[in-house]
Amino acid sequence: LAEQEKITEKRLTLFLGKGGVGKTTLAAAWAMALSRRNKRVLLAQVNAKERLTRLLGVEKITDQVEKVKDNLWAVNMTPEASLHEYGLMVLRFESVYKLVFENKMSKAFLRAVPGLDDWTMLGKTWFHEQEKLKDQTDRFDHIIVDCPATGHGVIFLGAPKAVAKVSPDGPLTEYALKMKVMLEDAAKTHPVYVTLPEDMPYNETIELRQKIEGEVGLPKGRLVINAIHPHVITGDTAAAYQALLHSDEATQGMLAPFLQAAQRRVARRHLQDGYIQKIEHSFQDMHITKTPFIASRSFGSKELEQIADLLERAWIDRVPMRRGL
Amino acid sequence: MSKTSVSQLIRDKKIILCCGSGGVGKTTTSAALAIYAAQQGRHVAVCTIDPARRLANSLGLTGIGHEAVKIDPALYGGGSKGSLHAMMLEPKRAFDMVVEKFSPNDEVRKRILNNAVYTSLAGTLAGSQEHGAIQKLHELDKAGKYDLIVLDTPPTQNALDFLDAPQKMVDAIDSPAIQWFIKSFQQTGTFSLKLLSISASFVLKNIGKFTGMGFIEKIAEFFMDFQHLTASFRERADEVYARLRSNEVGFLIVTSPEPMAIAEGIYFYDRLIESKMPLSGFIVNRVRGSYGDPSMTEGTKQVNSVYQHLKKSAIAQQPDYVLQALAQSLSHNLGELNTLALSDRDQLAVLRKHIQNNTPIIELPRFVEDIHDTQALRRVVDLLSQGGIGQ
Repeated sequence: LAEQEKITEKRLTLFLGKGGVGKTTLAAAWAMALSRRNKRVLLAQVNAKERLTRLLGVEKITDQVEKVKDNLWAVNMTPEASLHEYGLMVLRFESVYKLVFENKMSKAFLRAVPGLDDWTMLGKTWFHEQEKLKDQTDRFDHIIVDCPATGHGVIFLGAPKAVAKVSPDGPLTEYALKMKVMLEDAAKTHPVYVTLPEDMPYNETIELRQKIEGEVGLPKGRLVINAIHPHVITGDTAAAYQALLHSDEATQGMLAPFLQAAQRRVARRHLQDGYIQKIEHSFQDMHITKTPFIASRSFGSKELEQIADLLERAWIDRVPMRRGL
Repeated sequence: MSKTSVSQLIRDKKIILCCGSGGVGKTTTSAALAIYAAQQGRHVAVCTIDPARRLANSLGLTGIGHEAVKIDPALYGGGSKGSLHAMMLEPKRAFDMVVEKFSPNDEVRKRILNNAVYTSLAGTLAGSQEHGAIQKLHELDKAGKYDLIVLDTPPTQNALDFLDAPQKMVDAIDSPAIQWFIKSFQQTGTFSLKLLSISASFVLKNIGKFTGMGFIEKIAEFFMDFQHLTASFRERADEVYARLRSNEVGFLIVTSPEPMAIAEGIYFYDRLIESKMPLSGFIVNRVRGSYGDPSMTEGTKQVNSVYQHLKKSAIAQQPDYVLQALAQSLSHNLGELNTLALSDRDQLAVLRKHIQNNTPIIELPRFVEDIHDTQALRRVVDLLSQGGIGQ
C-alpha cells in the first residue's frame, strides 16, 4: 500500500462513484484540507449542478477558474467555455475564433459531434495540470476533479481513448494521447472511489473500479466508505440498554421513543458493518478511509469543515482513524 | 396521494412512466408499482434501461435481458390472475436495435454499426438511451400483450432529458449545419473545399485545424449514414410522445427529500405541465420519520429528563456513570434523527409550496436497509397499496 499512501504527492485526484454517495462533499473537503496546508488547489466540477457554493460558503463558482478562498480556486467546467479556451489556444486570436466558432454552422456542428464535450473538459483539466506561472513553477499544486456519476464518469475519463480510436492523427488525437498519458501516470493521478456501506453502492463500486482500471486504464487508487452511522450503544452502556429493551420502557412512557430511535440506529449500523466487511474484503488491496454520517438540518460549510478536518488528519498527518468508525 | 389514487393509477393506466434524476430509487419504485399491479390481477411488464442492473437487483434476479422474462409469482406474492414480466435493456444494445430496425438496408446498417465514431462514441450520443427506451415502449404498447407497462426512464443527469434528448438528437443531425457539412463531404467522398463558398471553406479549414481533417471525415461519414435514420426516428418519437399525452398514460415523478432531488423534481414538474403530459403525482422515497416529540432535536436539552427517567426505570440499580452515559447517547441519537426528519419536512414543504394543491404526493419511508431483494420490495408494495406513510 506504500505508494498509495502518498496522496499528498498526487497532482490529480479524481473523485468517482455512484450518484448521491458524497463525491462532491469529499472532493471539496480534500481541496479545503490541502489549501489549509498552503497548497495551491484547483477544485474542478464537470458541468455539474451548482451546489458547491453553499458547501464552501462562497458567493459564486463559474465556468472560469476563480479564486474562492486562500490557496483555493474553483471552476465548474462547461463544454462551451472549455471549447472556447481550447479554440483560442489553437487559433490564437479572439477575432479568428469568433469567425470560425461563433457562427451558427460551427456551433451546431460542434454540438453534434459525439464525445467532444467530454474531450474538451478533460482537456481543460490536462491544461491546468500543465499550466505554469511566469517563474515556471506549477500554477496549481493539486487539481481535484469531482467526476460525473458512475457511467458518465467512465465515459468522461475514457474520452481520450475513444477519440484516439476514431481518428489516428490530428490535433484532437494528439491532445487526447497527452491526456491519456497523464491519466495513466500513477505518480500523478489518483482515483478516489467513494461508496456507501449499502448493497447497490457496494456492487456498483466493484464494477466501477473494474471499468476505470480495465477499460480506462487508470492506476490503482483509494476508497472512501462514507456516511457511516455512529455506534449509539458502547461497551459501558450495552448491558443496561439491553435490559431496558426487555422492560416496559421499550414500548410505553417517556423513554420509549428514545429506545426506538436507538434501535433504529443500532440496526442501521449493524447492517452497515456487514457491508463494511464486504467492502474491506473486496478492496483489501486498496487504502480505505471511513468517514462518518453527519446529521444536520442542512448540510453546509460547517459540516464540510468537519470532513476536511478528518481528511487532513487521515491523509496528510496520517493519524489512524478514531475508533468506532 | 390517497390509498385510492395509487390503486386507481395501477388499475386505470396502460402506461406508467417513472421519471426523475438518478439515485432516487426510481427503479425500485417502478418494480414495486409493477408488482402491486400484478398482485391486483393485471398483466404487467416492467422495463428499465439501466447500466447497473438495478431492476434485476430489486427483483432479486440476475440476467434479465432484452426479451421479457416472466417473474415467478411466488417471488412477489402474486396470485393466479395477474402476471409480471420484466426486462432490462443494456443501453448500447438497445440503441443498436433501434439502428438495426430503422436502417434502410443492410449496407447502411453495417456501415453504422461498424463506424468507429459509432462504436467508440455511441454511448455519449445524447439521446441514444432515450431512443432505445421509446422504441421498446412502442413495441410493448403495440404488441398489446400487457394491460400495463411500467417504464423506468433512463438514468440521466438531468431529469428533462427523457423529454428533450430524442428530439435534440434528430434536430442536430437534420440541422442545416450538419446537412451542409454532409453535402460538402458527399461530392467526392472526401472534403472538397473548392465546392464551398469562401467563408464556408474558411470555417471548415479552421475547424479542421482544431480537430484534424481525419476526425472530421470520420464524423462526416457517420452523419451521412445516420441521416438515413432520422426521419424514422422522428416519426417514431412523435408517435410515442403523442401517445404519452393520452389519459391512459400517467407520469410519476420519483424523488427523494434531498435538496438537489427536490429541486430536480420541481423542475421536471414544470416541464411536464408545460408540455401537457399527464402528471399522476410524486413519489418521494426515503423520507425519514421522527421519534416522540418531533421538536426534540439536537439543540433541545432533554438529557436530564432522560436521566431522571432512567433512574426510575428497570435499570435504576446500574452505576450512575452508566445511566448518565446512556441518557447522553439516547438523547443525542434521538435529537439527530429528529433533526434529519425535520430536514426532510423542510424539503417536502418546498415541494408542496411549488406544486398545485391537488397534485398527489406519496411518501415512502427511508428503510433501514437499501431495497435490493424481493422481501424488502414487498414492504414497499404494501406501503404503496396503503398510499404511503401518513402526511
